[in-house]
Amino acid sequence: MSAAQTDTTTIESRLARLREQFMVRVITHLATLDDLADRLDAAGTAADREESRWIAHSLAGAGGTFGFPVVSRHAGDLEDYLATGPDNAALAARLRTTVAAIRQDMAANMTSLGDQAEGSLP
Amino acid sequence: MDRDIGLAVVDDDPLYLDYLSNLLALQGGMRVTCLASETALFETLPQEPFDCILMDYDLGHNNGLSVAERVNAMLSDPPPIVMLTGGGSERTAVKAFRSGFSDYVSKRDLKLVELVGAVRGAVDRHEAARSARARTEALQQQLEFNATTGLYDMRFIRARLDEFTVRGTTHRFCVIVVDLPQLADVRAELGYMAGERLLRAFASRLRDVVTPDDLAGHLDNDGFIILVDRPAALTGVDAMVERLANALSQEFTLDRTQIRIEPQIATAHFPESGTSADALLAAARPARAEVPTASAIAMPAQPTDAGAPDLDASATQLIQKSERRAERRQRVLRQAKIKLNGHSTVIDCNVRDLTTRGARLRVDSYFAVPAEFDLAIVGTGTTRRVATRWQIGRDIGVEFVAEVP
Repeated sequence: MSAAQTDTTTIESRLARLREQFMVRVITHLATLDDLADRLDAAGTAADREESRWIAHSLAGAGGTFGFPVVSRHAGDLEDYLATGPDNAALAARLRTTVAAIRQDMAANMTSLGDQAEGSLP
Repeated sequence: MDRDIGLAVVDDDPLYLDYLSNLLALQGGMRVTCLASETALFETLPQEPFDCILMDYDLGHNNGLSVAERVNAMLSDPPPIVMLTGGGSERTAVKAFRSGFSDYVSKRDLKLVELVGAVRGAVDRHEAARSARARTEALQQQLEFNATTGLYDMRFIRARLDEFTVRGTTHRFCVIVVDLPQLADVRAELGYMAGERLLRAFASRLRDVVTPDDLAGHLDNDGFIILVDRPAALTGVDAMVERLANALSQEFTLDRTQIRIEPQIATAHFPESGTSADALLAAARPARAEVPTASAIAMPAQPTDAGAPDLDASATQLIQKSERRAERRQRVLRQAKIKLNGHSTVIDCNVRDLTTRGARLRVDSYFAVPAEFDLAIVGTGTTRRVATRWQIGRDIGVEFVAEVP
């Protein structure tokens, strides 16, 4: 294997590790969005709305780069929706819809990753 | 670009930064440096020249627009900046371009090919702009010099004079002005190109005397100026003027014509002679009209064997066969009168050179002189019959034929 191929392999394996870390981050963010939906239903504050916006912005921005365009699209739609100033109940409902859609996409991705991992076994 | 692109990627999300930089490195042709904040960017920029900056729009407390403004203010040749944004609104894109970003890529539907294309495109455009700028600067540099002599042109010298005079009176400097009033005669008699060749030769001698630390340039068509802005050299200005006078008074040979220019050299010291550029120039330039000038061109005094040749042939002979004279010419500036038609027509002229055999005359307005006429030189009390040997414009060469009783 040439030095260039070694470099490429090293970079690709690093990218795969970073992608896994991103998936963990997404799962964490989705859990937080679940909590935020509950808080908004109860007595949501401006801080809750801001945290929702920040997570949506973060996922919308990074999702496409890490190879999850569906995550990026759902999170982007949520960010745009937040900018319209919905009330807490409507926002909570939208948060839950978004979280469900992203989880569905992540599950599909994980299955795909699992298939790839199994396929790569000797 | 033949070499790898030096790319700085700035993002305050370490995971995103790591992933994106590896993704770009995988494309090849890029040396990627990861910077986690605008602070890291500003610390690195002075040490490492990047070809491009790829920067997130949202950088903690600062947005990318203010960071870009600071980068552009900080560097004389700032690299192009490509903005990454999670928002992707049209308004942000417009702001980005108005703020001088080279390109704008949305993170939401990021396509690596587009991102790499944006970076490469920005670098290529920047390189093209830099090349164009370099060509313009080279042209401007050329414009600072006179195309004929290679000395600084008048605008450049004038700008330096203005700069020097505003530094304050403690910064002493000296202005040396070299005037060549006879150069106009050379142009009139031998033609414009001959005048340019002489000017070039003259400038070459001037450069030999002036040190590289002094600024030598044109003051106008027939004048040179030297700015001596070295405190240590100011005491030696008189010696420099003497060296200039010696070097510039030597004869020039243009084809086979001997030309001797008598330069008028004067100096003005800042602040004693004046505290403005105009005052210094006025102090260093005596009024030309008060200084009579002798001819610069040696001319044959002896008539040719052919008797009275036609005027054109005579003039050609003058230029081609000019040699050092056995008899020294007397350089004079006297009034004389050309008398024609039995003295019924009298035309004033100046005698510019005089020998026992002939004279060179200049009339105020051109007219075709006859082959022979009478010439009365004011103050001598005599009138002589003269034969015209040549005429170039207003200048006439005559040979004395006989004294008129």
